Amino acid sequence: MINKILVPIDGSEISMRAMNFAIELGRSFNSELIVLNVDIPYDLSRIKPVVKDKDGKVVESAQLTPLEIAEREAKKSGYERISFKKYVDIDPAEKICEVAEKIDADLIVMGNRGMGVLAGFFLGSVSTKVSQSAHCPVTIVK
Amino acid sequence: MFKKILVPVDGSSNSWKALDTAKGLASKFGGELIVLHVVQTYSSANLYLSGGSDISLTSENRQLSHIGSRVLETARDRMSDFHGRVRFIMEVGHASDKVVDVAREEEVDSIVIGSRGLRGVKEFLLGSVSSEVSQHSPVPVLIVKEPDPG
Repeated sequence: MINKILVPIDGSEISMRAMNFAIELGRSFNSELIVLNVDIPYDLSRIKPVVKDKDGKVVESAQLTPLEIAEREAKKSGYERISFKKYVDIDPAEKICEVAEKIDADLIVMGNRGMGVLAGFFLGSVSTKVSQSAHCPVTIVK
Repeated sequence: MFKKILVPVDGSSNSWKALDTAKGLASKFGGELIVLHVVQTYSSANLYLSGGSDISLTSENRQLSHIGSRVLETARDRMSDFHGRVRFIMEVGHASDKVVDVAREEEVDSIVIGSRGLRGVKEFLLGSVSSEVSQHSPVPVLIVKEPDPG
């Protein structure tokens, strides 16, 4: 019923919840999971500042990319049929739908918020856009 | 996960597709289903626009409830081959508000809903029940859709 699940993530807590939801679902259907991160080019707000501890040493763990966070989280679950992909695109929602169609995904699982309530209201959030334009069913995780 | 699923139906083909998907998931996970139809009645604000009387309003609303029962009747027929627990509920009010209310009251663990597939300007102006539900729901929402005809 569900062979391929696409999981777009941005490294946020809610996107990790979505990934864990997809892993649980994947266990029941023995599905293949494809975890996807779409980075927006030139978006300076996404570059995290260097975090230093009190001795002035750089704390490495604070600089994990979304996919590294996801890989670490996925390792905890021990799920094997999972792969990770990274894309750079100006329109994440469009790219997500494009990839879903290309790999013929049966389901997309994603978190409902990245930008926050206000931006989501005015611009339409990525999840809303994906749920309207994707060729396959979409699960929005809270 | 998928132990208690809420399925709002409006009688559209997408909502029947959602019901079929929910039925499949509930069978797979041994879950319970709640099928909900929300009757959106006319209010007196609509009355001023249409220039009608109170009497025509009441009869229109009665007819809407009647259509609602027919929708749930059809849902019942479609669920005849489902062996798990299933309940049918009819509510009156604003569609997405009621769906979220019922989801909270019944403490469901997921919602499966059909997408109307509005796009572009229409989507921006009107929004859609499925996207409103997915924004306000306390639990994961599975949005089911009909493939594009083109």
